[in-house]
Amino acid sequence: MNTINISDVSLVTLSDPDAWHLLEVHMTLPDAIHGKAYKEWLFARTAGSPDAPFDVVQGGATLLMRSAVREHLRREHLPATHVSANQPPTQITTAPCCEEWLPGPLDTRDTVEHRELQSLAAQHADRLFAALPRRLKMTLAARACQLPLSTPDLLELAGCQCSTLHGAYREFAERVFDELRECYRGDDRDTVSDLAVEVFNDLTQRCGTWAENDNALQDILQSAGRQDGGGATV
Amino acid sequence: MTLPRVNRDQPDPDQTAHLSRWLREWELLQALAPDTPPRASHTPLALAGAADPNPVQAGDIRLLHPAIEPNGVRYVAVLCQQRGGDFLVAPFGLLSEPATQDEVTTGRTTPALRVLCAWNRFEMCRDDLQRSWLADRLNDEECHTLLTPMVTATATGAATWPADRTGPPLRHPLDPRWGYLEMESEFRQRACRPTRHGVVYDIGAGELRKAAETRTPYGTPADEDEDGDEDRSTPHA
Repeated sequence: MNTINISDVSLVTLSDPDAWHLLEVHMTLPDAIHGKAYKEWLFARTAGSPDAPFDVVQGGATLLMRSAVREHLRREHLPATHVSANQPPTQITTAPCCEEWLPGPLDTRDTVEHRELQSLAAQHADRLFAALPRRLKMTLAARACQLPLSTPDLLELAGCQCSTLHGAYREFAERVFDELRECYRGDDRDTVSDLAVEVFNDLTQRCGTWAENDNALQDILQSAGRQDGGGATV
Repeated sequence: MTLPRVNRDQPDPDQTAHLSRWLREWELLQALAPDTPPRASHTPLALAGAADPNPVQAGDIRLLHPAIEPNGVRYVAVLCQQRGGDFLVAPFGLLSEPATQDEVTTGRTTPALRVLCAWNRFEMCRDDLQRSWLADRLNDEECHTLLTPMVTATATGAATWPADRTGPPLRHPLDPRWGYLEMESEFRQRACRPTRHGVVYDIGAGELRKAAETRTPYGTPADEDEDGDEDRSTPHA
């Protein structure tokens, strides 16, 4: 309820027939060769299951219903952060995270300045990489190769759980940004953010290169590449 | 030290709106995710049911068997057959907006088939795809627009599509889309997990002597000829 702009749950609750109709509409592929193949999927789940077939089918239908509900909420209801245009503006609310994650394109007249920024980023990356612990290098290398941090071989090599790697990654990223903001306190915030992104991307590439010389990690990355057929980089 | 000032143009409003919509749907997906993931089937796929009668070919849209993906209904597009006989496939996305520049809208309105995730393509063996149901096929226009760029993309390069059909670029390390990529990478690992295929013994039935078969006494020349005893000293011509 916190994600959509509704205060009363009863306003969005569907009756049982309506809910099942929603599921049918959501899951059926119209004008397809086998538009109701999802029903085969539902009943195929019972094969080899120790649970009663009815429970298995019901569990599968619940999974599918979550997807149908998500689509229904996306289409029919506004997000909780939606503000009416008629409401007097008390504060201009833009999504600062969106602006930081998706800045505008670089001004083409600033090519020289951008190269200077990249060179400065490389210097910072040099310093940070030298002090980077092995586990963090492994995490960044895995990210560079789009290897899931939950890969069992990776976790065994790192000697920790998946949540630890995720936490370490996030904590390190935030530390890089905070350090640079502190170091360049008087500079333009957006430029500092650009520098931090360049530093982090440079570090990630260095960790990818480092992983190529680490036999144990390279085996894991190569093994994942053989199985997967190689996911493309974004 | 003062940083070199780098100016940026205003963000593309379409991209910003696109990302906002994606973030909202991602938030909904996470809010509606089950607390515990579904239990994977322990039945080998080969015993899980009859194969789909339609032979696998490029352009198929196949619904993965729950023994491959138990977490929900997932469709894949069959891109092409590889040299070893396996097929290269690309999954359709869970969300209605492409997350990054390497995901593309298909033009279809069905929620499960709106977005194709080129970055997450992987190889699947024919048997696994044969046991996954043929739901539909891409038409000629879709094959040309969606599949050809992926098939012809180099190993290190990404397929490209018009900007209005793909997602915004991903650059920030704390962008939530990394969590989405992580989740979908886990799906890819599940879908092409080799343990599902079991162990294959390449010894033919005729090569194994059955227990009830008669055997000539040990030391009989006929018996030694069958095994090609390496200790024999008889020179060959």
